[in-house]
Amino acid sequence: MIEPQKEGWSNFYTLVLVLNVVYILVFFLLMNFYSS
Amino acid sequence: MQDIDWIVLVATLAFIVLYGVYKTRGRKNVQDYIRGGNESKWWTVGLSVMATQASAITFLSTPGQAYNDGMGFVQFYFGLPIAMVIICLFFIPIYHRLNVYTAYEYLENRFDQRTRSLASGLFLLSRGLAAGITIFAPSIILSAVLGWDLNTLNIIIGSLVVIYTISGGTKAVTVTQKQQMAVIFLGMFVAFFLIISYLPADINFSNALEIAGASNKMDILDFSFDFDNRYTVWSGILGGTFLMLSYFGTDQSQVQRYLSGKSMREMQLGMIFNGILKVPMQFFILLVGVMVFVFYQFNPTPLNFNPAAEQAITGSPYEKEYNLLQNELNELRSDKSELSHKVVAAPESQIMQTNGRQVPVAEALSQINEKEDVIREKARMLINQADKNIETNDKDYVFIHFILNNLPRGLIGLLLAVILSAAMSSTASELNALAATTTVDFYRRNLDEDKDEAHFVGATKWFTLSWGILAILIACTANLFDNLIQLVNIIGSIFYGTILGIFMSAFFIKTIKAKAVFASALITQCVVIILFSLDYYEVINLPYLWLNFIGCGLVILLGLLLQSSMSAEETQAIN
Repeated sequence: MIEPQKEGWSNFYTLVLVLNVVYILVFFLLMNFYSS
Repeated sequence: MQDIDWIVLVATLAFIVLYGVYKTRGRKNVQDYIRGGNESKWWTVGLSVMATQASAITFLSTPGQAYNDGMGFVQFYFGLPIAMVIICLFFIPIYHRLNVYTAYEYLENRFDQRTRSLASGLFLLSRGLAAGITIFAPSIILSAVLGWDLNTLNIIIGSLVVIYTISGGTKAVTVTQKQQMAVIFLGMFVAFFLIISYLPADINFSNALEIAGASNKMDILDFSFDFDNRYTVWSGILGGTFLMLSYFGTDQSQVQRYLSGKSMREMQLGMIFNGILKVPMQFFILLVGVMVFVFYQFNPTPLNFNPAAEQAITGSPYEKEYNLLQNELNELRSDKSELSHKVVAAPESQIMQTNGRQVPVAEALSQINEKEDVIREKARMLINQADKNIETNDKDYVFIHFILNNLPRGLIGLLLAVILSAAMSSTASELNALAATTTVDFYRRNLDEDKDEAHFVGATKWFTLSWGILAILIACTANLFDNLIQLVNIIGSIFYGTILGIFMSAFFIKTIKAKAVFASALITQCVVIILFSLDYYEVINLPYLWLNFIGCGLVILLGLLLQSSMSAEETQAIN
């Protein structure tokens, strides 16, 4: 039986997570700027 | 529809189909046909994954969702990037190392054939029905607004997809999805810039966002823990991660897309590409809907965007009352337009209302929009009284109404090509995956005699044709069943959690063995169905996103409990 092995962290994974946090921050700023 | 629209529409679709057939001609073995010869680069994998997820309903419904409820739906996708990273770290390496054709092959390696058959069977059941609805859902909307025959439209969409999917298998699906995504992006960008250009001369993009904000359409994030709100940051991150993990990690229509990657790295980068682009893409589609909302602050709208609703009212005893409501709506329009200008020019100003109360101009605009919602609700009730079978929830019709009534000649054809391309790209992936799973997990697995590669390629082609015909038949009969779309959504949401639970147990809980996982999966399935029924009949309040989380967690928990009791019994027996 083959067990799953973590192939190691990549900077791309950090990039995708950081970028999405940035998106959420931008949404937060947009919401606060434009919401009534 | 003008001649130029027909030319653009037919030429775009014909080009995509012929290109798919031409690029993938020639003899193939099973690896070529099911995994596209493992030739796809990361951007092809990424675009293919995105095109599979983006169905026609994405482009019809999402702008309408934003028109009605604002930008909050984007939170639904917050779990996607987390799921992409987990899939890159754990799912892709093992699928790649085992050199599987379907995700379910791994389950036999880890557990037993029974568990593999259970998971692949659940996939065939839910995806088989969904393929029909992927065709039916845009057809019903397009036939209502364009007057085209519903069944003809179902047959055209289904047949076009079947032609190139049979001809070239996975590679044809992948190469056509690149063209389809190009058409989709081009169409949506053109539509967006045209909407902005159609706003009054003194209203720019930022002003449009101010007007949308004053009308509560810019409430993008909801940090509350309220179960009544289907889309919150928390349900998106937690529920969304589980949903996206099930969909991208265990649904063959997605797994097959990244298994066509040239190497493990290309597969992982394709998923990263999706993780980076998906949230902005959904945000953009929702923004198109919000801009349509702003456009209609200055332009007349029907009481209900579904043309069938208006037809049902005409000549009915409710026509007079309906026309009075339409007049009320028309009177509101000049107020909306005037207040929208004031929100931009003097956002701090106050206006005197008829009751003598001074209110900020933004609040006044918000109140007018609430009034409009009340008028529309009254109209819905009238339509319902005139004809109970008419769909009064018109959010799916908002964007297509805007396209048909406002876009210039030629571009209407392009936007219809966007919608049909999206329908075709999702359907192609589904048929391709259904055929691959039927061949690999059932036909080849249970065939006693040795057969050559050509035999299995031929079998996959026949299964593609059979699933294609079944999907078209489901699409053509879907109209007869009131709740078929709902049924498909139910099936999807109640099975995904169980399938993910089986895979998570396989990946991460080494102690759980075949018997325990099979029994826990069956028990969980019953519990999830009961929970869903209790929510459906309003005994409890449980938004469907949480079913994936509960299903997955329960399979693991029960698996652990059953395994420990089985192990204890075995120890006792040995002693």
